[in-house]
Amino acid sequence: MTAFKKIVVIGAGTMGSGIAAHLANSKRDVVLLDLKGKGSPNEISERAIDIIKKSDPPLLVEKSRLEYIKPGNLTDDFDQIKDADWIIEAVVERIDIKHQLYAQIDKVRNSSSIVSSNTSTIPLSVLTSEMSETMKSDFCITHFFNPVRFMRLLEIVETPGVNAVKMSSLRDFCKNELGKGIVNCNDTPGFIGNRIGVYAMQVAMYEALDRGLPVEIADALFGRPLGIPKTGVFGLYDLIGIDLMKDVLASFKKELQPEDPFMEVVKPHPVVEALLEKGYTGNKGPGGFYETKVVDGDEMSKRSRPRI
Amino acid sequence: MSYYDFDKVDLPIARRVEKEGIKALLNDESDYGRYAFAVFAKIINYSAFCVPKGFLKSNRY
Repeated sequence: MTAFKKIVVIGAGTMGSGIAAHLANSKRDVVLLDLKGKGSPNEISERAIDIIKKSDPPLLVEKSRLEYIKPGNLTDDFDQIKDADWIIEAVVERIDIKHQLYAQIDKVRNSSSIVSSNTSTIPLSVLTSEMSETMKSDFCITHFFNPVRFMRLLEIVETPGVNAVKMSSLRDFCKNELGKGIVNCNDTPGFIGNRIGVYAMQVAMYEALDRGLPVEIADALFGRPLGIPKTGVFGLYDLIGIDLMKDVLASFKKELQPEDPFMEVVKPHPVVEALLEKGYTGNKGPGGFYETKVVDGDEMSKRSRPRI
Repeated sequence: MSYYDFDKVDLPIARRVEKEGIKALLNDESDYGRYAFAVFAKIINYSAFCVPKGFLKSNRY
């Protein structure tokens, strides 16, 4: 059985750093790798660790767990993979980058390690299409949800010929040490959570806009009353990024069968196109369906909605 | 495109849902109830469509 003493997470974005933080919660040695910085070599992963430190709600059970996370970069510290028990890829959803990374990992990793991807949209068959048979048998998708510490769901997708002993160790670790509720998914577009979740967001958006329901009213209805986070659908769109949602939809469109009911709402709504055309990408940009205003130094104290 | 302010949304129906559950909203004859019903029905129908496609493996955990 694998002890998972050392784990390397590649990609220090929201998901990669969230996964690293939660692994540190289980007192495992974690190395968080990202691209080499232009200033300090580890500036990207160090910045991610700083964000973990300041996160609210906190991603760490206690701040002292930070000592389990070591920052690094893919240029100088790639050999950290050599003695890792688990290598988690959480890089940008671009298959060319992932294929290149997997080939590099395959050369360096030890034969008892397991490798997984945190992809939320790319099918396992595509991820493994250029992989050696040996690596394929040690590879799976472990799809965590954000924020990793608090979201219990973990979707696992495995290849048909995967090493069953290693998978069993991985499941036990994720269940018992990370506290995850595991759902084993087939290799279908968006797996389960995002397939239903993104469809639900699209339907809620189309129905609201086509009925002329104001976005803040739709969010008030689609949020807490329907058992969904209080952001509602439009607030969630802004939080995720309207441009990113467009990419996610394009990925679904490519993968789904024409008779799938999702196809009726897979096209970004004209309002979404209009927002993007003007550069409104959501919270990370100048605003989206909502604009965040700073009033008396408090970012969330007042919001307004666009005339659309 | 411009933004304009709106007051904090406080819907009586949302308060009723907290006390009586989701059925209060789904049975409501207002535009809000009809919206919620349309969305909810489509989500449930789509979930039912997906299950026979075998997207869920047997779960031991």
